[in-house]
Amino acid sequence: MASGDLSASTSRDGVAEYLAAVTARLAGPPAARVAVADELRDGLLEALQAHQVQGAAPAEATAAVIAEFGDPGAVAAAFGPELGAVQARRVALGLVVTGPLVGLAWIAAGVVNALVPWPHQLIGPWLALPVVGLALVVAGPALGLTVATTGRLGRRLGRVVHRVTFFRSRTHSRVVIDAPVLGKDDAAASGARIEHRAQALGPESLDEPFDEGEVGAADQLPVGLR
Amino acid sequence: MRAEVLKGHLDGLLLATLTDGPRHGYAIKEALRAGSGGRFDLPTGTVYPALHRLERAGLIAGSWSMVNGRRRRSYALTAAGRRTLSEERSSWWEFATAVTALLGERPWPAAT
Repeated sequence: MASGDLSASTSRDGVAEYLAAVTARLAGPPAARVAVADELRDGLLEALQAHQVQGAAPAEATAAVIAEFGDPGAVAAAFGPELGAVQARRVALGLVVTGPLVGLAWIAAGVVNALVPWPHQLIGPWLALPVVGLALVVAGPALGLTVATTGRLGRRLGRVVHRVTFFRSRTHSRVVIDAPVLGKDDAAASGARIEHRAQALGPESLDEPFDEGEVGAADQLPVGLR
Repeated sequence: MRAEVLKGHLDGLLLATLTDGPRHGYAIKEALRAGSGGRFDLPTGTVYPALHRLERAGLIAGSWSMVNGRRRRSYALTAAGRRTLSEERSSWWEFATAVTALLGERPWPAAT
């Protein structure tokens, strides 16, 4: 990566610092963050080249490019809803795949229990069956909605659904954003609002397993800066 | 032009820069700036999230390529993007014609 290496000159160092400042504030799946970093890096180098071709000295060009791209916090924040939607979609798809497996495991446990005589009958799974049905009735459409609205279908489904998606994707992005990133005033405010909404949804809310899954994942996301 | 006025038309303007063929993010931003005579000079960093939003909506399609040893993402209009662009164009003409009819007179030099 000869010409892609940002450390090749001092002016590139300045731009690399800027890129690091933006990517450190990004939340979302690692692959999506690497893609954003790659795209921004290409744009930054392109801009740097354009300024130098016009005769700007390296230091001037660096300052101009950084001013042109805008405040790192604002840029990262602008990516927030997009990366949040990617995250929500990914988690929803994960649940769509793993949910039936968990259900099968419960059914298998019930069948085994019915075939093999135990001193104490395991009746829990059978008692829980109506609840499972209810959960499926709620979870199925909700997952479908998340997957549909975070993809290209979202645009066709109209404004009402769009608002739901906005709320949902904000919920998930709230979960994956690290605490220091939430130092932004509006992020803290929206976090409080979302927690309020999550309570309103009740303990059976779909968001609960989402939260548990993603808090851990947020710690292991290195930003793919090369 | 005020930022909030531009905001409602940003999607259409971004789509319009791709009429002549695929472009990468920085070239799209430059096309906006040059095409507007320097009036629409957006912070480059915020053009990319807007492009990602359009891509998620299926209006543009991004693809990666290697240019001079670095990864570059280019965007092209999709069929849905072309349809949306032509809708944006006609609704803009409708709006602009109405506003021009009401506001379009050139301002008179201030009376002294």
